[in-house]
Amino acid sequence: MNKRILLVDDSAVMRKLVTRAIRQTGLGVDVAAEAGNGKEALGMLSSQQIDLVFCDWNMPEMNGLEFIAEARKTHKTPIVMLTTEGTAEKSQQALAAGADAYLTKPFTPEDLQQKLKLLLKI
Amino acid sequence: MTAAPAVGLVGKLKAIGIAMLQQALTDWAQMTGLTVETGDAKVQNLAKRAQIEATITGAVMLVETKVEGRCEGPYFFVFPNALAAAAVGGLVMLAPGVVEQKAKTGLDDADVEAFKELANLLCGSSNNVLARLQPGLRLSQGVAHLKVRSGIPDLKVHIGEIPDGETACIACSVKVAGQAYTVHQLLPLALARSMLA
Repeated sequence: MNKRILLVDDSAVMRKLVTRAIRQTGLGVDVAAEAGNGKEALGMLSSQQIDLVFCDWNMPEMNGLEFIAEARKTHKTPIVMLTTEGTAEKSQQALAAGADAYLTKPFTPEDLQQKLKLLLKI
Repeated sequence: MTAAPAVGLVGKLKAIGIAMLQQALTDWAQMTGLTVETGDAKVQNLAKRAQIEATITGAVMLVETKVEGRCEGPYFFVFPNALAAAAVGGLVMLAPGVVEQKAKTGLDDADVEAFKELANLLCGSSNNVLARLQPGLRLSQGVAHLKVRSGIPDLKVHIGEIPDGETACIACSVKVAGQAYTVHQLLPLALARSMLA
């Protein structure tokens, strides 16, 4: 069965671009669900089988950092913070909140593939 | 008559303005596939609204954000419409003819949405530069502060709100996909002095 990814980003354009990039890795992974903010994503994480989450930082309603902290209370699903926030301080903040990995935009196909392989163990 | 910014301030503003834009365009290039090249910059003090209107002409996309950290205030990037259309076209893979058309007629809502992502990246790239050159300062990427607007009327309204009426303007020459453009960065002169003190 294909691994199922939840993509959390308030930008529909970015969700489309990341979906395309994930498909192009050729690893047979699908974006199975999309959410526009952390609150929506929490609901999906509880109601669906999700193997990996890619999550933006800056979003309305509930941002990525708040989402990770909240998700970590009940879920162990790997979460990658995928953001333009590229400083070491921000990266440390996300990892401390419970993110498993940090990927800065713009990312290369190799970066994306490496994270997918590592966290989905494929 | 308004005095020009001090020579030291001009040099620092120029260096930061160029470095931030260079990093941002390099990062844009990775996402859009466009070739980019950053040239020289000119720094002016545009004291009056009329000067701003005379300096920045034609259709533009305005990116508004906020400087945060050891000092605070508004920061604007102004991109010519044609450059914004080219960048969006590269990002969402539009046909060249469509990009040319959008450069003339303006960006629609979906294009503005796509440009917001580039604006987000612009701030992220700028923050990497600021972390190196001016630690303790960053451009906000929060949804409350990072705004993208299309058109000159907005520019006039928003720049007109800069409180002290003195605006530092960094005009950077860039080449994107072989076309030459000028990208302006605007901020209150008082904020520029605080940032670079």
